[in-house]
Amino acid sequence: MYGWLWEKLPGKTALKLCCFLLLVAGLAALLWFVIFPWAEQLLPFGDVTVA
Amino acid sequence: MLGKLVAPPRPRPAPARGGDRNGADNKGADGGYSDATSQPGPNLTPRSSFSGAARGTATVRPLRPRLSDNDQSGGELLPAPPGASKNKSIGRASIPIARTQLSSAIATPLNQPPYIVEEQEPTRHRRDQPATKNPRVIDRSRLRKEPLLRRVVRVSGELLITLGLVVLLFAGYEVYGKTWEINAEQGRLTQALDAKWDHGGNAAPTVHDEPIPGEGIARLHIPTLGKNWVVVQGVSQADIKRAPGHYPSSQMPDQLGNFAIAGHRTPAIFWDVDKLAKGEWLVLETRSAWFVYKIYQSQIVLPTKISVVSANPDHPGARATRKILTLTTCNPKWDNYQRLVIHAEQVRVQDKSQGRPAELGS
Repeated sequence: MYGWLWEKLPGKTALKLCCFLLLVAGLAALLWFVIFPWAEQLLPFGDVTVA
Repeated sequence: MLGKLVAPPRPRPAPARGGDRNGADNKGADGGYSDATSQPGPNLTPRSSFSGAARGTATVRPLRPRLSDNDQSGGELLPAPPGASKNKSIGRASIPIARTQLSSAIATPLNQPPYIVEEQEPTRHRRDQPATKNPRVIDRSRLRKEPLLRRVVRVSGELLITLGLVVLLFAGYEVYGKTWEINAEQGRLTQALDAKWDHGGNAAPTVHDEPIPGEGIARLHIPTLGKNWVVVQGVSQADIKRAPGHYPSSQMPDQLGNFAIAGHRTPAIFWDVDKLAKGEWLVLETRSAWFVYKIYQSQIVLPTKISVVSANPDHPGARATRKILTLTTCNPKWDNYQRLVIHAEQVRVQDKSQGRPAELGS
């Protein structure tokens, strides 16, 4: 998976590394700002009321 | 190995024992060849001296190069090949190489295994050299050759490692991300609440009028924890996402009954409320007044015990006789099969014009 990704990335090692880090940062941001806030509501510790 | 070769000068002509010496000589020539190619400097002298010694001692020599004894084949008359002369610029030093190559070419049938290996290995090595420097080529060939099972195992391993990192990131989000979000939202809520209180002036001294769900209605201070939050109206998931929420069915602070608040058990909200002890203060701030409460009970109940937020939590169903503040949050941390409930009783009310209550500390 990572080998395949590394192969697809353009340029030499330095550029590949930059692209890879950029991809990781983008993915982390997507998780952090979009997916985690959504997924967090589905988890049990979101419910704190008595009902 | 070379020392061995040099040491016994041959008194007799070689042909007599060509057959039995064959293997040993080949070995010696082979070793000498490979040594000479890899490390030209130190090996040249012994070889030359050997050939010189051989020339000096061997009196009878066949004119034709012998297949068996290639070291004395007389190939020194041949000029050195370009590669050899480039490596060893001294004329004398180039001779053994030329001879060896000639003899190996002639003697191939007899000397097959060592020579083929010796001559092919550097070539193969050279061919591989650029490939190892280029990860693209190496990767592609490795992927193509990789067995399916191994590939499946590797990819699933990579996926699992990635999943582990994602879960780790989620744990980080739950603590730091949520804290950051809650603090940012609390800042916005504070601004909105202050604007509302400023705008309203003293016209409506309490929060009697029906608040909008999600809208800030009061500020809760826990002086012993050094925390305060804007409390919003409503306890739906959306309402209490970034702020403690007021159970809409419960009462307001200036009414007899229970002002019940639900808050997440996250580091930015009710994380440490289990550390609150009996007798400590909770302070509720509204537009016009400070409501000071004293904690009298902390209990862990089942999520179904809704009486804790009723008007009279100590005697469910009975008429409210006191003004109660109740905090509910989940217990244990990061789970929700219990509820942690803090009850406090209102002990006094201080008008905003009298400044901050002493219970808030400095």
